[in-house]
Amino acid sequence: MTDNGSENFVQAIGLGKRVVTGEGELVLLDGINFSIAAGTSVAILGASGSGKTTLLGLLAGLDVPTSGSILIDGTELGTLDEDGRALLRAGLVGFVFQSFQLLNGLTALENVMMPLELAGEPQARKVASALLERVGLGKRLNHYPNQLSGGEQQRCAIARAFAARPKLLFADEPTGNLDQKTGRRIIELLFEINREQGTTLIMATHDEQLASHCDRRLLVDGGRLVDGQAD
Amino acid sequence: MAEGWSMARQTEAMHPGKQSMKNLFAMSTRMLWRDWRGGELRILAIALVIAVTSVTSVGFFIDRVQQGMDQQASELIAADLVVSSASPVAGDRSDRAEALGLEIAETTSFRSVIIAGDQPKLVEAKAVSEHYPLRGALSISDALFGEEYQVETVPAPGEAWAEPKLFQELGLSPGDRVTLGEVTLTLTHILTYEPDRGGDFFSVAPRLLFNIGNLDATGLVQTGSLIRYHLLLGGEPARIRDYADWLDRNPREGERLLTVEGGRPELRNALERARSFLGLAALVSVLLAGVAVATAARRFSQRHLDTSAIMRCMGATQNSISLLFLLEMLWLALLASTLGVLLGYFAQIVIAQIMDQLLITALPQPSLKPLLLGYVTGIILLIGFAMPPLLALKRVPPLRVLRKDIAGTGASSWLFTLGVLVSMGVLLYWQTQDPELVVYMLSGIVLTLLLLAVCARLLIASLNSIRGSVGVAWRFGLANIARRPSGSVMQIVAFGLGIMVLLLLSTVRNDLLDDWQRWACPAEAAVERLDLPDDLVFPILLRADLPLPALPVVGGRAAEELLVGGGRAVLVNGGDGRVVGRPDPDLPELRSLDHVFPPLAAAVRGARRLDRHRDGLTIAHDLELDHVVRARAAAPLPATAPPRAQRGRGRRAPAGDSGSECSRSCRRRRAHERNRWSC
Repeated sequence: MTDNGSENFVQAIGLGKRVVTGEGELVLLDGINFSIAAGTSVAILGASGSGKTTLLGLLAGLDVPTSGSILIDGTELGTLDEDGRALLRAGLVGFVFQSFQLLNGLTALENVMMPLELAGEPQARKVASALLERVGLGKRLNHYPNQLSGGEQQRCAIARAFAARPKLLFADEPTGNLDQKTGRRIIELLFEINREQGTTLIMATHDEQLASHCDRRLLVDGGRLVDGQAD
Repeated sequence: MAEGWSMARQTEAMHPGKQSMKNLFAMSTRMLWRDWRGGELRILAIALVIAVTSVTSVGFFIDRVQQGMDQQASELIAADLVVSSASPVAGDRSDRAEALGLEIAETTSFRSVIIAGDQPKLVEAKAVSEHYPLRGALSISDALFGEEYQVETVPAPGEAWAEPKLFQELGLSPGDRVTLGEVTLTLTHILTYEPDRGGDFFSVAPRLLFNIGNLDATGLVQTGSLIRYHLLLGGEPARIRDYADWLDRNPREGERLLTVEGGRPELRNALERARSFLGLAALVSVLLAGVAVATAARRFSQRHLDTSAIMRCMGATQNSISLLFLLEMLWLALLASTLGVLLGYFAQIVIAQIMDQLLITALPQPSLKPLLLGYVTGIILLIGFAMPPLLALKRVPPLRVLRKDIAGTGASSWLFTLGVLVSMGVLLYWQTQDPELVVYMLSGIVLTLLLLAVCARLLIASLNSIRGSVGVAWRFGLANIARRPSGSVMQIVAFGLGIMVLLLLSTVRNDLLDDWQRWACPAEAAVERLDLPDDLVFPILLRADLPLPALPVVGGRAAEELLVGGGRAVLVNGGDGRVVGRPDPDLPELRSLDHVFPPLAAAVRGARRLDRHRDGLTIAHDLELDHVVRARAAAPLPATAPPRAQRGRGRRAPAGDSGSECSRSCRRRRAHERNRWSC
C-alpha cells in the first residue's frame, strides 16, 4: 500500500447529508472527512441514530450526499448517475446486512449464485457451492432462508458478499440479529475470508468488541466524525 | 478448502458491470423457474391460459368454418368467377378470358313451363355448355332414388336431366320426353346435385338441365324474356384477378360479377356475426383474465421489491432489471400461451363436435392463424396489464437494503390505465375490425374505471371519520387501507372491473345467443315480431341485397312451400291452377295480407298478372317498382337480415316459440341437405 490509489482507496471529503422533514431541516451527517487504504478493515462506531448507517449508504453509493464528495478507487461517485453507481458496485462492492437480506424464494445456493449470475460468471453454481462449503453450509445448499438459523443465514449472506470477489465490503451491524456466541463465530468467519481475499472492509457497528477486530475505528456522534477524522 | 473455492479464487475477472443480453436471457429463465417454484406466478399463468384458451378455441373453430366455406365457395358458383348478365354476355368477355388462358363455360337460365304428355309444369330451365361446371361436379342417378354418382359431362344435345321432384310430380321416368318451348328433350337422368344451385333460395320450380346447343331451338329466347346469362371462368388466382380488374376497367350495363368471396352472402353474414359475438365473448374473458393478471402482477411486484433492491446493490442497472422482468414475463407468456393454444385446440374439437350436430358435417383442419392470435393475446395481455407494476420495480432505490421503509414509487395509475386501454383496444380491433365498437367498449371501460376510482377515493376518505369508533382490528385494517390510498384505489378498481365484467358476461350471454339465433333464423324471429296467429303466418323476407324488385313472401297454410321469385313477388297459398290475370282486390289472401302487411298487399294488387297454379303457388308478376320499394321500406325485418327459413317444409312456429322450433327446423333441414351449407 505504497501508491496513492491504495492509500486513498475510499475517500470522504466534506461529506454531509441533510433531509427536510415536516419540522424543518435535519442534519444526518456533517463535515465528514477521512480516507481508507486498500486492504484495511475499518469500523464505523456510534450509537443508534448517530448516522453510521447513513454514512455506510453514502459510501456504498446507495444514497447521494447533499454536500461533499466520495471517491472510491479513484472514481468520484458524484459524477455518476444511479446506473453509473450500480455499475461501479458490480464486482467492486459486496454487502453484509444486519437483517441478512437473503431472498426467501431462493435457496441458499441460489442466493449466493445471484451476484455471480449478474456478473456473467459461467460457473456460478460451482463457485457458489464452494463458497457455501467454505462457510460451513455445504449440506444446506438447497435449503431456503426460512429453513436456516440466524447464524446460518448470515453465513450464507457472507458467502454471497464474497462471491463476486469484491475489493470493498460493507457490513452493516453484521451481528446485530445474532446471539453473542453465534455473532463471535460469524465475525471470525468474516475476518478470515476478508483476509484471504484481501478485501477492504468497512463495518458499521455499535459493538466496541466487534470494532476491536478492525485495523481502525471511526467514531460518529450526532452526524459528526469525532474520532479518526484524519488518517 | 474445496476445489470450487480454489477455482473461485482464481476467477479474478467477473466482468464487473457487464450484463449482456445473453446473460440476462439465461438469468431470466432461471428467475422464471425460481418464481414459479415459489408460487409467485401461478395466478398470472392461470389467467393467461384461460384468456388464450378462450380466444384460440373460438379462433380455431371459426377458422375451420371459414376454410370450409372457402373450399366450397368456388363450388357454390361452379367457377372461380362468373359474369352474369340479363342479355347475352358480350363476346369480348370470353375473348379476353381465352387470351388470359382461363377455362370457360356458359349457362343460360330462365323459368318456363314444360309439357309432359298433357301436363304443364313450371321448371327452372338451365342450358349448359361443355365443361360446366368448372368447379364442383354434377351428380346424377339413373333412376329415382337410385345410386347417385358424379359425372364430368353435361346432357348431350336432345337430352335433359331433371330434379327428382319433376319426375315425381309428373309421374315421369328416365327415357320419357318433355317439350320445352319448341324442342322436345329426352329425360335421361335424375339430377341429384348441381353445385351452383344456390341452396334453392331462388328456386320456384324443379331444375331442368339441358345442352346449350338446344337453346335456340326452344324459341324461348326472345326480346323481353326474363333470362340470365352466365359466363363461368376458372383459372389461377392471379389471372382471375387480372380478369376481374379488366372487367372493372371495362364495365357494361346490366352485367354483374359473382365472386367466390360473394358466394352465399347470407351465410357469410351469419358466420361473421357469430364470429364477432363469440370473439367478443372471448374478449370479455380476456378482460376478466386481464384484471386477474393486473392484480397478480401487482402482488408479484410488491414481493419483488427486495429482489430489485438487492440486485441494484449488486450492480444491476435499472434497464437490466426492467429487461430481466420483461424477459421473465415473456417466457411466462409464451409458455402459458402454448398451453392455452393447446387447450384451445382441444376445446374447438369439442365445440366442432357439438356444432356438427347442428350445422355442418365435415370441417377441414384449422390453419395455424389462430396460433398467432393466441400468442399475441397472451403477450399483449401480459404487457398491457402486468408490465406497469413490473416496470416500477426498476425504480426501487437500492437504499431499501438498509432502510425497509423506502419502497420507491409504485406503478403509475395513468400508465396502468393506458396499458389496459391500449392492450384492450388492440385486441378488440383485431377481433372485431370495427373501430366504432372499439371506441364504445373502451369508453365503457374508461367510464367504469373513473366511476370506480371516484367511489373508491370517497370511500377511503370517509374511512378516517369512522376509525375512532371501531375496534382495534378494524382500526388497524382501515389504517392500512388509508395509508396507501393510490394502491387501495387501484385494487378496488381492479376488483370492481372484474366484478363488472363478470356481471356483463352473465347479462349479455343470453342476449348474444338470442341475437345470434335471430340472425341465424330470421324467419322465426319475424314471426315472433309480427305476433301472427298460428294459421296466418307471413314471415316477410325483404332483403336489400336481393335484386329489385324481388319480393319474396311466405304465407298461410302453404308456408311450407317456398316462394321466391327473382324480379317478382310470390305469394303462396292455395291455388287452382287458373291464370287469373290482374289480381282481384277481394282475393281472400290479399284481404289477409291487408291485415298483416298493407304495403305488401298494395304491391300485389299493383301486379300486372297473377297466376294461380294447381301446385299451390300464386305468383304475382311484374310488380310496380314504387310499390315494392314502399313495401321493402316498411318491412319489419332489418334490411340485411339473411333469409333462411324459406326452405322449411313444416308449419312455422307459433309466436313465442321461435328458438326451439328454429333448432328443430335447422336440424330437419340439415338432415335433408347433408354436405350443403344451410341454416
